[in-house]
Amino acid sequence: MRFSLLYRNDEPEREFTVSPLRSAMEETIYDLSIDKAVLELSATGEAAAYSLEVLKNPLTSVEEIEYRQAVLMDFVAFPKLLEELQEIFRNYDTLQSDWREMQAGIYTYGVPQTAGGILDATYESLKLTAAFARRTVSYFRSVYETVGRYEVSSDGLKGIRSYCREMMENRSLDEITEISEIFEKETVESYRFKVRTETDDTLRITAASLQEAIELEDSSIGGKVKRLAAKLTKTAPPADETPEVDMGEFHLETAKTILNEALSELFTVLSSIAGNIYEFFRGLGGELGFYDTGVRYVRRLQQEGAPMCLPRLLPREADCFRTWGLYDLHLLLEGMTIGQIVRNDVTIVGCDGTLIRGANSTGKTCTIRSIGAAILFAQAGLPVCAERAEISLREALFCQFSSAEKDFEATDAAGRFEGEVKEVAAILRQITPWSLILFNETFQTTSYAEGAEGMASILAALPRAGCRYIFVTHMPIFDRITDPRVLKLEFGRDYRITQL
Amino acid sequence: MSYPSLLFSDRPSGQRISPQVFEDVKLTAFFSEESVDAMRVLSLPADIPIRQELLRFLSGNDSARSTLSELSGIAAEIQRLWGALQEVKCENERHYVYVGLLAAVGDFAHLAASLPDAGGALLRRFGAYFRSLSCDEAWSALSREAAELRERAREAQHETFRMSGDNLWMRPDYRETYTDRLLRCAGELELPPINPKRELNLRLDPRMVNALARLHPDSFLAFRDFYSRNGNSFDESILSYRFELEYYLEALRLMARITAAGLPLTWPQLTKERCIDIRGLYDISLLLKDGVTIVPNDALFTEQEPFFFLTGANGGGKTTFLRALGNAVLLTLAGCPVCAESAVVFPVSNVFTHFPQDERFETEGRYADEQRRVGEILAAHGGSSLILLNETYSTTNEELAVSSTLALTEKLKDSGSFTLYITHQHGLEEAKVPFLSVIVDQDDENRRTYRIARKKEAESSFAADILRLYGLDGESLLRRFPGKEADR
Repeated sequence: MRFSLLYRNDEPEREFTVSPLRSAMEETIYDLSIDKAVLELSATGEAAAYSLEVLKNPLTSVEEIEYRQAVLMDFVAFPKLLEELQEIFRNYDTLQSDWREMQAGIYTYGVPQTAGGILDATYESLKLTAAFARRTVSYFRSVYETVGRYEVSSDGLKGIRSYCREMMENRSLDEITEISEIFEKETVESYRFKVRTETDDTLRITAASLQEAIELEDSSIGGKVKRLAAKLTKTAPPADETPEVDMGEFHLETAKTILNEALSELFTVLSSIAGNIYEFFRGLGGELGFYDTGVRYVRRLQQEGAPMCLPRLLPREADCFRTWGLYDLHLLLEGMTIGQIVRNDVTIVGCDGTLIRGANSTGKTCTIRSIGAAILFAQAGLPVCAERAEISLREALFCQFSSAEKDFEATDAAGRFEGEVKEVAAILRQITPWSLILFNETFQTTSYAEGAEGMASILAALPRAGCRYIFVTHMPIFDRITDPRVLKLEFGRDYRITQL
Repeated sequence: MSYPSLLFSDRPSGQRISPQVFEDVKLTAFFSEESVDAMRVLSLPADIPIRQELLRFLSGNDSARSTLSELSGIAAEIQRLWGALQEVKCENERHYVYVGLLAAVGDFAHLAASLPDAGGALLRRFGAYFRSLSCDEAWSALSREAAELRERAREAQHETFRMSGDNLWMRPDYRETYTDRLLRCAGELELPPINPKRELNLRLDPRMVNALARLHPDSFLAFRDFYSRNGNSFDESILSYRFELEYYLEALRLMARITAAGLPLTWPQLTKERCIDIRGLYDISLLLKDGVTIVPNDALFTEQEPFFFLTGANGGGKTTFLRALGNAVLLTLAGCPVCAESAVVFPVSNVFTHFPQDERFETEGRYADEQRRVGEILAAHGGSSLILLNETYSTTNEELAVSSTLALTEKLKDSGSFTLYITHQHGLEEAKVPFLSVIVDQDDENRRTYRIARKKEAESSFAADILRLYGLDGESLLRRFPGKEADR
């Protein structure tokens, strides 16, 4: 199990990198310039990178989005809580890597060659792992006490608090800690052991498990003398009434090998348990980085006096994008005041597609970017840049922006056109019903007539695949497409939208 | 006492096929080393239909098949225990291991006796032997005693070592370990399963074995007594069941796999006439690849035409055809059904392959290596074998290659052995042997059909075809990127 503040139900084990749409979403983020915005808003490069990964994986469930929105609002209300948790999880995030590094350090000078050397190295590994296990378990208390100091209302933060309480009261965790605490002594010579072995039907030892490790006396001079005496005189404490055969001192190497196997087995099990317990909170540091970016985004809009809202989320079948006072975040981040930015009401409901045209520099690209950003932010659980919004969830959001010429090595129009065709073909291979595709001046790298003809057949195909599109263009395509289910919008010189 | 074989009514033919042959035709992808060892020892032709009968019976009888599978597992145990017995270092160890070995033999015999009195001569003889053994009072008593002692031996398989300083004690102490406790905790926390098992195989030295005997004196005395009375009761011939049973089980698994793939299997008919006539032949190694269309072909070798060259375009299915032929004959000789619609096969006395080898030739050149291997085949084929030559002499200059091929053809074509020789060489017409060739459809951009047919002479190979095969020609690239998704 893994606890997540980003996902209520989804298994966060799904790594961001495995998404089949990863490269398409990277394009989308790039085309919508969301990467620039996130970089500017985030406190660190790490937080920005994590936030972008979250944005590249839009949620498609209202319940999940609301879970995230509520956590964000708690952090907006209690920024100190976010800071404290970030501090805790900064340490937590390095716990496992530190442990691994120290483990590797045991073998800095190579793998020991003698049974005694191997045993010492194994004990050292076990000791480090025991410490890792103890420290990992101790985090449940730290997190519980920290969150408990705030009146949080989100299911995510209330959940983590009650989860930590349960874990603190868990007797199994106590027992794991208790066993881990046995292995704190400096060297393996500080103990006497009992190792239970299993032999097979050919008298080969096939398993060795540690049954008991009892500390010898402390490291005082008296203790050392007793240990030496135990070594030299064989006057080990009489164990109990169990019959024993004294094997003498002839099996030192074998005994060390058996003990090494027993300690190795314990190391294996304890490592696995500690690693799995560590998993409970693994990744929370990154998740908090996303919320930190979210809180900074909210604060920035508040400072600018810019409107924002948590959108009303609608099922995909409602097929709705309706915003009041939608504006482009980038204009704000580039230094314009909210008063200078023209805000538009955009209503796209129940349309197969939307065509947008207008003269140069009338706001077409800003608007398509604002629409894309609003959808992505909404499906990431963030507020959107509008006074009010009603947004249907989309299965995926694809972009083909002709301005993104970075990948085209050929500078001639034919090469660029071919590059665009490839991009569109790649998008069409990945679309699923209820995807939205944003085209910005696509196929204008060829003659407008040919480009329009090519685009017309593609646009006609998209609704048949259950998808929707918005196409910003200068091409003469408005007259060619007469389907009443296609919305046609035009930008005027005043940056205002008119429906045709 | 000697256990009855499941492979031979009486004795093997005396011929052994090289394991490299199985490797070359890729049967090793379907049969383990143990099975190949069983298959390469050829039977007399009369045993082939008897094996077929047994496989037929097993393929339709789940219960008998399951019993054979269990027997195979026990046979593996017997083999392992026998190996351990060869390595014992003290008498207590010998007695201990021997008890387990005899108990395993008892398990095997008991289970074998439960087989039905059916399945052909080999299986009936096998079952009857063990049924009669189980009726033998002395054997039953021995078997029972071994089983009882094995239980006592198991009690001595968990010991505890107490270690303090450099001193060591051994004691019977079975309390819970830290690992047990941690695994319990992990289970209660619903953590993912943990496998604490390590690869440990540490032999108890004689002192330790003797210490163990001191902790369990009564048991070890009983083991010693058992050994002193029955030390000669183990018959090593039981070890061959390990290979024999494994062969049948793997053959059954292969048959099931082929049937599940919807491909035909046929029981070959043996003939005394020198001919190999297989219709609808296909290569099972294509089963290992996904999405491959299997194209069947016919193979006809007769006394009059026992030798063929096979030529044609790269990637056209020449090696596939050669492997298919090799597989079919090897499976026939082993008593298995073959991958074809029908098959009439002369039971050849051996099978030889000559494939290109990639290893480094440190003591001789590549051509010399080829010649040496050809020489070995010529010395051994005996005029009644199947010889599969795959691009032999392809590593030397054309003149030498052609002359070597012609010389080899001269020696083989009237020898009585059947030969299929894949080659790209030109100028072999004077050998006066028939040619087979892969068919390409010239009306369809030289598309490969994977069909094999008779040709009068060798055709040149089409290196350019390879490019089309991988879709790298202009038209294919255009087809791959037509933008037709837009019309969906």
